[in-house]
Amino acid sequence: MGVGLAGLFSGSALVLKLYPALVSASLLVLFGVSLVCPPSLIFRFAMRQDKSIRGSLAEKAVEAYCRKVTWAWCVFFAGNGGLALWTSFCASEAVWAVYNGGVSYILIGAMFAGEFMMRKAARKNMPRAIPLSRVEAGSRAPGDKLCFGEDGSWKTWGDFLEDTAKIRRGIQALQKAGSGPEDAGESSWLLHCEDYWHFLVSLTAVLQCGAGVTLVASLASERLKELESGHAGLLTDQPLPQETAPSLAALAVEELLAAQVSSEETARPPSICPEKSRITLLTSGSTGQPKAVTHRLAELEKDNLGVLEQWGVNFYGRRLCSTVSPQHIYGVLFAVALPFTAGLPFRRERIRYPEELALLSGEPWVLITVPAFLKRIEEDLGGEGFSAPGRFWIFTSGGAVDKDTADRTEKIFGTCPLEVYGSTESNGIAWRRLSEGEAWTLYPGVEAGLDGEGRLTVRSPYIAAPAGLVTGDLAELLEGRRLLLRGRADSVVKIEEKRISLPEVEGRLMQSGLLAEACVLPLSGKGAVRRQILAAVLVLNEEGRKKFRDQPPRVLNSYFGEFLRRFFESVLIPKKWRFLEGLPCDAQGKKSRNALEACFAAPAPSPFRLLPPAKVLEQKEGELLLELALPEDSLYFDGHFPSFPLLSGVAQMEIVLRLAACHLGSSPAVERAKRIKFSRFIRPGARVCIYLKYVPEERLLSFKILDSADRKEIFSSGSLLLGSGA
Amino acid sequence: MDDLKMRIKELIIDSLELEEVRPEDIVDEAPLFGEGLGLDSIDALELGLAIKKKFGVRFNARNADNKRHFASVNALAAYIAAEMEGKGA
Repeated sequence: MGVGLAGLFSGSALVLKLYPALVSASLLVLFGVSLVCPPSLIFRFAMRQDKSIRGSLAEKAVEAYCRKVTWAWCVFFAGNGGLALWTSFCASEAVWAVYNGGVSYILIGAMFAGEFMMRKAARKNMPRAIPLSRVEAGSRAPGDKLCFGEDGSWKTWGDFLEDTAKIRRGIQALQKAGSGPEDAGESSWLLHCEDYWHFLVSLTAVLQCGAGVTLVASLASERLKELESGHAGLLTDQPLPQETAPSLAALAVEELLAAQVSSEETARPPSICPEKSRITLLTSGSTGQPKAVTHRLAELEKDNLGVLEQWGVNFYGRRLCSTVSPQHIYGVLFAVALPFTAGLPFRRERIRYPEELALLSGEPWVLITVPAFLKRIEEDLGGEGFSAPGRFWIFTSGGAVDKDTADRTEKIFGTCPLEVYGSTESNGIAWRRLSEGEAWTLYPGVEAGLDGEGRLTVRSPYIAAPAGLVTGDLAELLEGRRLLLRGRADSVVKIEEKRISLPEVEGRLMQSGLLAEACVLPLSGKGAVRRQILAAVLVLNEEGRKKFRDQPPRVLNSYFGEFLRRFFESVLIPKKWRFLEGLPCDAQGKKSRNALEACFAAPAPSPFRLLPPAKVLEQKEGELLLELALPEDSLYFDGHFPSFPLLSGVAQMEIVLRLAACHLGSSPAVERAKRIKFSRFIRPGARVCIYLKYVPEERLLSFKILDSADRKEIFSSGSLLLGSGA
Repeated sequence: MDDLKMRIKELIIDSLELEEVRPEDIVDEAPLFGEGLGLDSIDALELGLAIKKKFGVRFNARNADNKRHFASVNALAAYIAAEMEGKGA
């Protein structure tokens, strides 16, 4: 306009003729500058027009596309401007008029039309969230890549349609054969797959058949027997334990996948109703009974979509790999459903050793892992470029990451892990990055409160019950939808992120029929990582004592370890065992946690003998009076005078040391004995009182073994200088 | 080789804090995980670290190979011996 006016005033036709070229030039500058200083102009227009783009899974892809379009317009303006310039100087006025008044506008129109068509085609390839319940044969192109193997092989959308059809056929064949329930909708299947692809297609197929699915963390034989009755069968890609009930209908996933299906079965996948689909997870309840938690697919999908809404923009162009089992809530949500929904290519094989991470291809990755894995990675894991900025995006869950692990992870991977707090019952609740502080931020839509006992209560779109639920975690609520976690409120503990209720393990141990009492407690190991383990203090019953008489401790350890292996995954089997003749308890008759822990401070005594049951009569700072019954069959009487059995001096010292270590936390090792006096024999069946006094500063343990609490008759007495070991 | 196997067994017992297990209780060809010695996935991670520290051998292998190397004491010994030889040469 300005140029036009200038042309009028100056009366120069040339300036007027230059007008179209100048318009093109200024547009070229405008578009060009936006390429140098992003976001590109077209992307700005797009974002203004479609508010849903920002932060969506597709944002980065849309941005890249818009950048290309901006480039195309730049080239167009350069060309168009050049031609306009040429017509201004070198062509007749008629040519100028035809080009600038007609052809140029037609070209602009053609650009718009062409871009519109291309955009339509491009939109099909934009990343889109397709949850399981919205799967149709044409949701993605048949060649779209979903999943890859370590060997470089790919599974595509076409394979997904085909493989789910194959598994459905296996399920339906079994149902027709009459061994499953008539109505698929009433039935439920057990599922255990190690390979994420097998897991995905099996889970999908079961849900497509309208059946429920129960995820089993391990194929522990007794556990399968217990679960068998409620289920139509088991789908697995693992060999079955030998003792499994023969009546359990097991379908081998790999065998089903080797069969052929018709294109008709592939072309029309049955739809999945998210409100009716049931996915059951097995976990540990606080009651001591194994607990089944049933979710609807609807809530799991909402959780996935929530994660994508919040962080999906960061996933563009990434692949996903995982170190967690898909049989747990975190695994099924993040390692299988999330990449499938988002269309992120995921690795089929679970990563079991950190070194496998160093071999990953150069693309950016999403890593799904747990603190137990992160804290066992060595700092020199990757070579050059391994931790290039933005190469890794790490999710972790199952337990809080400690400061040290967060720092190390940042050093190794160049990013602080994003921690997700949730549970089997609640799905996702909150998240944090330790680099930004210790407080957790609630997921959008989640409402948190506290109950009378300080436990966190949660209402959320990811929980089916409108009333929400009470978690087992103690919490402190902060301003701005944030909270701090303060540990568990019940007897549920986490062993390396696996949740387990101690009474449940104790209950299983009692099922052996060989125990009078069982107590299981969590302990921290000695290594740098301070590994968490379970430890068990057991009291054999009559039958148990008979069975294991004269057996070395490792026989007992491995017997009870193997026994539990029929119910639990290996991580949850106690690593340390102590066998006593009674559980240490305080004067009120309560199990004493300190005393139980102290049992593990020293190695189990050798030769192996059971410690007679002791009852605390009085306890003061550093002083203790105990009552001890010595049954006739106690192994402490072995070895001394078969015709006249008695408690030897060595055995008395062992008992004194063990009791003191248990109850007073003293060292179980003796440096030197001082003034020991044995006055009378202690015979089988005796009931004695033992007085102990421990002065830690002097490492001096004094004892008296008496016939009764009023301390009249003394069997023996003395004091011991203890070793400085713990 | 027998000496190496003995050292591996001692390392297993030591690094995993196994109680009441003596080197001679570990059978050369018995599986280390699941049945047999009954180690778990965390033990696998810890053992990998310990082996790297003690023998300077890294498991820079593929998933499937790692599974094989950790199958038994025999498999571990074969892998460590081969790796150490490769380095020493």
